[in-house]
Amino acid sequence: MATLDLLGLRKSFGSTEVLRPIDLSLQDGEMLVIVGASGCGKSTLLRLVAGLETPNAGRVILGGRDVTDLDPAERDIAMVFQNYALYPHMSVFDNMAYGLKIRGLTKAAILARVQETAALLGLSALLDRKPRQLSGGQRQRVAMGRAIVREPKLFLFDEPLSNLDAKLRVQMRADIKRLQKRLGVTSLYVTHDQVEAMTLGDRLLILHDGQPAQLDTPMAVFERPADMYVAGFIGAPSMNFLHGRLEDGGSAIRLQTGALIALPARYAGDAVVLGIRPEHLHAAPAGTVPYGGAAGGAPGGPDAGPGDSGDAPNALGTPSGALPVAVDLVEPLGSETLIYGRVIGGDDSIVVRLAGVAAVAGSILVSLRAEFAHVFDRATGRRLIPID
Amino acid sequence: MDRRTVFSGRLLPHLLLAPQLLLTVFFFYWPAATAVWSSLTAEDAFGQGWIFVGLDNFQDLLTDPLYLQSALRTVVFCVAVSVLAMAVALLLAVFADRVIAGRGLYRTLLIWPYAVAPATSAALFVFVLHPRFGLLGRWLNTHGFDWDYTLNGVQAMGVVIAASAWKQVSYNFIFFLAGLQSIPRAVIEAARMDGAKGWLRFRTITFPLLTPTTVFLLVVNLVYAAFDSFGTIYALTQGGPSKDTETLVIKVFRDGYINHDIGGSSAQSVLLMLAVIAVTAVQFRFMGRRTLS
Amino acid sequence: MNNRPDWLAHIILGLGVLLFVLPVWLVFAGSTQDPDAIARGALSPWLDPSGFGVYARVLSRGALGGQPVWHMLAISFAMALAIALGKIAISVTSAYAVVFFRFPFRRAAFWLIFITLMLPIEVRIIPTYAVMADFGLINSFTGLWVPLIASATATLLFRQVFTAIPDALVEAARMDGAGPLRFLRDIALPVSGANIAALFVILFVYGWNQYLWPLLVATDPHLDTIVIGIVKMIGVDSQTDWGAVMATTIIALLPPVIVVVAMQRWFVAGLTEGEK
Repeated sequence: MATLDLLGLRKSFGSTEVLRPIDLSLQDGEMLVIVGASGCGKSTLLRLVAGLETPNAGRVILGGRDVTDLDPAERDIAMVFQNYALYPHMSVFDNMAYGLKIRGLTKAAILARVQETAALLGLSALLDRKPRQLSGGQRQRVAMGRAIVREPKLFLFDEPLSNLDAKLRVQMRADIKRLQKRLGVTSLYVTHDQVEAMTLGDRLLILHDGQPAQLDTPMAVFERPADMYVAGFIGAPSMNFLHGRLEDGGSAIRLQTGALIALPARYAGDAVVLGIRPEHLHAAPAGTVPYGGAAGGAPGGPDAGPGDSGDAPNALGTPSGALPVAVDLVEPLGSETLIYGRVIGGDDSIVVRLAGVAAVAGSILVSLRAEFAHVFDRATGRRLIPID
Repeated sequence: MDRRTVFSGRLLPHLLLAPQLLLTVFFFYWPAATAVWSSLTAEDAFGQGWIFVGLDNFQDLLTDPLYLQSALRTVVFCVAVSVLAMAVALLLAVFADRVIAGRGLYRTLLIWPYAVAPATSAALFVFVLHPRFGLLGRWLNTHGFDWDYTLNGVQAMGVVIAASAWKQVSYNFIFFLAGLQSIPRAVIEAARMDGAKGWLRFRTITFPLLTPTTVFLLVVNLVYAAFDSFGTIYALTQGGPSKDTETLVIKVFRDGYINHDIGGSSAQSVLLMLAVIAVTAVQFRFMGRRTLS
Repeated sequence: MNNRPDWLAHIILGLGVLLFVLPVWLVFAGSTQDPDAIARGALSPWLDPSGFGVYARVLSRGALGGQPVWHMLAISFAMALAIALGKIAISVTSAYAVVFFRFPFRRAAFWLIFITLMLPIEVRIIPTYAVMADFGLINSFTGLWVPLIASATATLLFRQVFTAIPDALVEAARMDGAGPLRFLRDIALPVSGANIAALFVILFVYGWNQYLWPLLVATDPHLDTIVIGIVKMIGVDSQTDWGAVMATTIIALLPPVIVVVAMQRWFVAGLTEGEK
């Protein structure tokens, strides 16, 4: 059983605290993806588990064994490096055999294992080549082969796909997932690419400034992001954030533009941010009444009285109501059209994702599907839970 | 590899080339030609002129036991100095690469000996190892060890080897350190994760990856030991006692300058030239003519 | 492995540092001691603060029958500078000619120069001496340094640097109206600045440390370099002025060491450039 438990792991470099205390538990066979922007501490966390750095506090427990004070060589962990780190002076075969030789396996055993792994990765024809004779994708597979052949308790992946071109990346992503499922080895995978995170992880750990922002399944992270950082990080183009205040007992948001948008639930709070993904916005038919009444929206700001435009919040789900948006840029991608603009009457920028080809003028009316709206507290950035 | 963009003009490049070309002709090719010519001549019986003797000088040399002994001595000397200077330098470089606190200071303190002249190195070693004046030399004698390199040929050889190697460590250290630092850190980490520790990792990963540096340094050290060591050896032992430290370069000097055997010393020079050309050619072949690119 | 100090490394490196510092310290300490005591074999590792006068003495008057050390220092300085600057100058111009122009026998000229790479002066001493005699340069200051700047190491280095200058730079300069000499002065030379600095260190040390060639070509004591001077001083056994020898040795060490330490970064970079 190779479970991984990280207890209170902390790391500082000099006076900079790179990792705040982290607790994490992986189940046997689970692939956990650690994702975050550069400098968030994810590589440091991986290196702590590997033993290439020593923590300032905390323990690393692998398969029930405390390995915190052990040299990397003794932890029975295999790592796939970002730049592959193949031994340049050895053939592919020797690269894969190296760790096994050190462990004292017999020549026959080594031969069998290396050949088996090579077959698994499509490397059988390349066993005599040196790394400099291989392409990027091939080197990547050798790096993986080197890790797989050792049959370790834990796999560590340090952004292994970053150096590959886009097409290869997609293909290798699928290969890695398939292999990991088949081999059933507990794995920790670090990346800054949120697509890799969403597709590869059984669970995601989103790190922000050395602290965990959310630990959950990919779908949960996508559908219920814990805070604005996670919401903005996962999903491309990123979620839109519109600033406003809760009104009407917490069941509607008054945006800066004066627009009043009904919410499907009630929330407790004051200054908030409405989050809505670009794909959950659509172009309202011309003539749709803007949210909050008069065409163009009242420029009175969020504190304008409710009697301002003489309307009542719209009913849940009805697509009536729209936000006027001034269009800055249109990106026609063929399969979809991205519209970049600003909400008229406010400061917020907005990105709208429309399916297919769309004809877009200087300003458009955009309506949102309120059931996909997220509400975040403006001060803390944290997601608000409905109080009903 | 030539560049694509160039300037036009015929006179200017010739003017720019002229100084070095002239110097090269006068101070390299002409002396080399003279040496070759002299090596094929000998003084006539009355010491009045020169007669052409073909390859006689070479034949005499190659059958002269003194020359052959000197050649053997030179080989032993060169190999000993190279191995000693490189081993010490590698040891220091490995730890200089590893250490964190004070690494800049250590580097500086291990680089400055590069500036010491071979002859000065000899002077320093006199004060350490001389049987009467040297601190350590005298200590050895007063503690029952019979130490006198001015009389004992083997000890003399040991002293000149030590003094020559001492001076050369810095140069090797600089290159070994650069070589170690050019090994990608991730490769070493991968080896650690594969289970390789300490000496095993050094032997199977680090040292093999240093091979280009090692080969380069070996050639440079051999050539250094053969030639630059003139100052060290001459200042310490003048090639003595009774020729026990007379390497080929000392012999050329002694035969040519002191004993005025122009034919013989020219033949020796020619042989040395051939040896250096051979060694350098091997180096370029092996290194893929790196510096020529 | 990260937070604990690396004792083994410090011990090994410390021993290494001592290996080089101790002999120099010994000589420095010895220079302040009584020369007669040293002749009797009583050299000690301790400094005698009252003995610093030997330096003044040796600088102004030298050892018995020898040149005053300040004079030898001057000769060494002049020689080292001449070699360093001279070799850099002719190498820059040759490399520039070979790289930036096309003319018949260009390749042949380059190979002619390149071959000299392989032969250190010690191999061609006697015949070079003969050539110097023909030129009347024996026992002249010029004779000390001119033959030593003929070899090709620097030329090769500059050739590499000049070849690597981007085409776009040359074309832009040309459009701005720069001719070859102006380009050399305003662009090619500044670009090679670090290399020139590194070479300067290497050549200065090389020139300063010469022994065999100055020994041959200059018997006039007025042309003694400080390195020659030291060896001469050691020569005579019973009458050797040990204090003077030691003091001179220390003095001889200082300028090249200072140059190397002060320009350390360029020096190391320049030496190891071909390595990567």
